[in-house]
Amino acid sequence: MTDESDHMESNDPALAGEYVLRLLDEVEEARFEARLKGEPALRRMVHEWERELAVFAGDITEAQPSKALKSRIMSQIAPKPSGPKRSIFGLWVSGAAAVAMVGFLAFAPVLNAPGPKFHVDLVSGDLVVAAGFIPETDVMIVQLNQGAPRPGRVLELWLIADGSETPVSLGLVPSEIGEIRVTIPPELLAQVEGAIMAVSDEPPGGSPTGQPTGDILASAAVFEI
Amino acid sequence: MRTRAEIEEMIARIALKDRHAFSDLYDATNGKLFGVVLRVLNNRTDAEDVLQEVYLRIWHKADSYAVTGHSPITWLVTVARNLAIDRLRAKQRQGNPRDMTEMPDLADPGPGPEAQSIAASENARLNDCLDALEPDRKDAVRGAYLEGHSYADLAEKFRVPLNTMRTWLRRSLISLRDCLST
Repeated sequence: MTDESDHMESNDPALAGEYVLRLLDEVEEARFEARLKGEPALRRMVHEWERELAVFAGDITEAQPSKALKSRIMSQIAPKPSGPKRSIFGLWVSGAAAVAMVGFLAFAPVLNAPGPKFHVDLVSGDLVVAAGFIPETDVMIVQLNQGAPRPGRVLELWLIADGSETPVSLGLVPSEIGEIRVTIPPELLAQVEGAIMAVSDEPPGGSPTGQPTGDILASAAVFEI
Repeated sequence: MRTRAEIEEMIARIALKDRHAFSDLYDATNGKLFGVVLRVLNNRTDAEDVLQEVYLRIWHKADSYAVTGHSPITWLVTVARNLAIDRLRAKQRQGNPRDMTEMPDLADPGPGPEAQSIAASENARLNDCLDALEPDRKDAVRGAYLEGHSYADLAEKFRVPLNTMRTWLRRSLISLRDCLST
């Protein structure tokens, strides 16, 4: 424990700076973000670097985007004519949290069947993917709760085991709102605890290389229910 | 550019989904944020796509602004820069490595009038601390911030092995942190 805190004291300020500069690779970045959620001191370091390094932005010359861009953006935030009425408090964040909660509740044990022991919510923009793992039966549940793959693309799920640098594919996320249940090898399930999971944008059929090839759309740490 | 208080007011109203405030914020800040995004991406079409994402992010996440404790322009620039670098990294992964020969020179032109207005007193100290670094190390930190250079890009630019670049940069960050906290 002492070793760990010494290690943190010496490395975290530089690590937070590398994170803000965007110098960490994807795996390092996902690990750092997983830590950020539970470590306010680390979040403060990130905010300090963001504030201090923004001095460089003062050197940037302004540039004019095309005039049409503003109307394109304004039309995207226009109220939807036929959408359900929403309260002013129904902000995006609480909306996503509500959907994630629905996903969570949907995993509640049916009768006496064993429920998931591990769970992860992968949320970014309007994309909400959830996964649950039932060790007793080697079952993985993957849900697409909100959003969709990009046109002509698919969403692929990845597991980065604790202490590993290499993502392992867990297969594809449903392309439409819904869930799938699949059996996964016990040796893979054994790596879920303490892992980070991510969802990436891939060509039809999934990554041809066995490693993510498209954007990492969201990542998060797996938690124990 | 409007005053800090005016922009803060706009962001507070955007958090309540006020579209007029959003329109005002766009008018007040699009030149600056487009400059930030264009500097990273060096391509107008990509930069306009990303600028659209930036404003939609601002619309949806205005309520998270206060949590950071940033000045409004720092928050906006941070959002814009991060989304631009997301796009840059995605392009790099899809096999469009950036051609370092076409990149603008990293040499420090010195703070312009605008730099002084953003920097004001809170960042005067950072400038002093940056000036205490060796010039090419300062340029490497600048290049990572302004152009979104990765370690691989920087290693190529400064013609040093990647691990050397990583060591340099980490040491520069530690020196900066030490300097800033004294």
